[in-house]
Amino acid sequence: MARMHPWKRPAGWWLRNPRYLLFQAREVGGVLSALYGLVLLYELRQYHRGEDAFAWFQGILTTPPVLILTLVVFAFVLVHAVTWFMLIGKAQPVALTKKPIPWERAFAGNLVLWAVVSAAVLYIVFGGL
Amino acid sequence: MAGGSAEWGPGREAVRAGAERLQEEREAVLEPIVWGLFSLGGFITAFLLPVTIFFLSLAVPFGLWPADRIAYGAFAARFADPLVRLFFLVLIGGSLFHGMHRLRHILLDAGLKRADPLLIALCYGLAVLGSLAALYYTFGFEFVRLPFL
Amino acid sequence: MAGKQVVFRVKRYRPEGGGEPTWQEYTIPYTDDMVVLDGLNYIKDQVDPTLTFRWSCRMGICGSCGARVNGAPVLTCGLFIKDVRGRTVVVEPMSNFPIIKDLVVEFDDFMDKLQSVKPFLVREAEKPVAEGEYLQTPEEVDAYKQQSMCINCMLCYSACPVYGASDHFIGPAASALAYRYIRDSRDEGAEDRLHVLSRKTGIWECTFVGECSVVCPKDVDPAGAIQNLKVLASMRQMRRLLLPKSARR
Repeated sequence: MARMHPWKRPAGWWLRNPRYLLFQAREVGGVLSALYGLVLLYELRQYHRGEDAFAWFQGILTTPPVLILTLVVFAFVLVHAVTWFMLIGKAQPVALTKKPIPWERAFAGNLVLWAVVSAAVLYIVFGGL
Repeated sequence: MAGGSAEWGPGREAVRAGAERLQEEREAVLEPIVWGLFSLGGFITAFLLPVTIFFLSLAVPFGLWPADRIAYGAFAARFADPLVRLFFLVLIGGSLFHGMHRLRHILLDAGLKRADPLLIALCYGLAVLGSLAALYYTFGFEFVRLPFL
Repeated sequence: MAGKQVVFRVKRYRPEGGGEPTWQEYTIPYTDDMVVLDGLNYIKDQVDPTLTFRWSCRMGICGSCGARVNGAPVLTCGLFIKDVRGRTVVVEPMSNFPIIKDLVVEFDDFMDKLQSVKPFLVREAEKPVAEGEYLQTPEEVDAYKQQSMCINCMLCYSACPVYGASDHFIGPAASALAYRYIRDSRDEGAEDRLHVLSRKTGIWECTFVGECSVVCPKDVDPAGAIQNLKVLASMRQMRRLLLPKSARR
């Protein structure tokens, strides 16, 4: 009795090429960004509770295990940011120019904008160096 | 012959219903909205989060910045500025909507397709609640005190 | 003839036997001007006539010869044997499709999806022949030209992990072709197509992995087309929610 062989996606599909791996890292980066958002939220809560509560929370953030976790989160957030700048170069739904900008140039432009915005945040939000 | 019996073609998960049925299915109402928020959150997260993590959580412990810059007093001075408070609101809201959308899709892709209604409630629910809490901590607390927050 | 040899490791599957696919190795001579398809044809002609695979134009325009070579979805007519890394050329049927026999896969699902996006010009009224042809400026042609290059080879479906998980997703090529017609100035069927694409299993399943655009032999960029469609569909949704009466055509 003849039959087709069905397809089932293998569990390790994302290990098959570097772009799939980068995709998964980017997705995880998005989730970890939300995690840090929650940390920020908690930090604001502690701030409202006063100096001792705030200092206690900051103390926890500087313990070695939490610091290592922060570095991991930071690494993934960087992957997420860089891949985001690549993606908005590759998909240009808003036509700023007549012909689509080559994605490498859009990517470079985004990196420059990122540096500028980061400097602005440093000075406006954190009070400068 | 191909596409005749399920015996011959066991590999198809979707019922092979043809083009007509594909036309009849309802449009998604939630997806465009959450995708829009996800995209906005993506821009916010990509541009604003790295520098925030670095200066708030990494620069001081690694000795690259003086500790008094993020101590309570300095923070309070910065937090008085409504622009700074708006920054935190936008950053928390944006990262939550962005990340929760990604989490939902990671879980859907991992196979939890049937649990989608629950995933929608949990993921976007958390994003909404977190954003509301952020609104309280940045601006709302001046108007009302909520003892549970 | 030069004495170069290569090993072809090919996935075999017999529908009459059922069971699991197996591997079969063939050692064949090759020259620098041979593509993988030439190798498969050599095997079929000289070594094993039971080897079954699709091909036609052997020049990258018919879209018949898609397969997975050393893990990557390619047109076998477009990949030179000398350019394949390693000593073995591993040939399998395209991923994400059920296998009918050997390297031949079943893609009725794609055909249904393609039909559902109406891949032809849709107009309320045809222009009478006496009035002449539809005119387009070069800019109007550029708006859809890239996506019009699609040869329906389905390498993009083979590369898409979302489609690989479940065939509910409408997929890259169908979406790109829908976009091609939506962007064509002669077309008036955007509403019908966006209706189909706006289903939950339409473009909203796409998570912009982007591999579809990487493997496309014709540089159609379906990933970019889908993101543009997401913007179009979102704006259409906003118009329908905020101005329900005016949104209807």
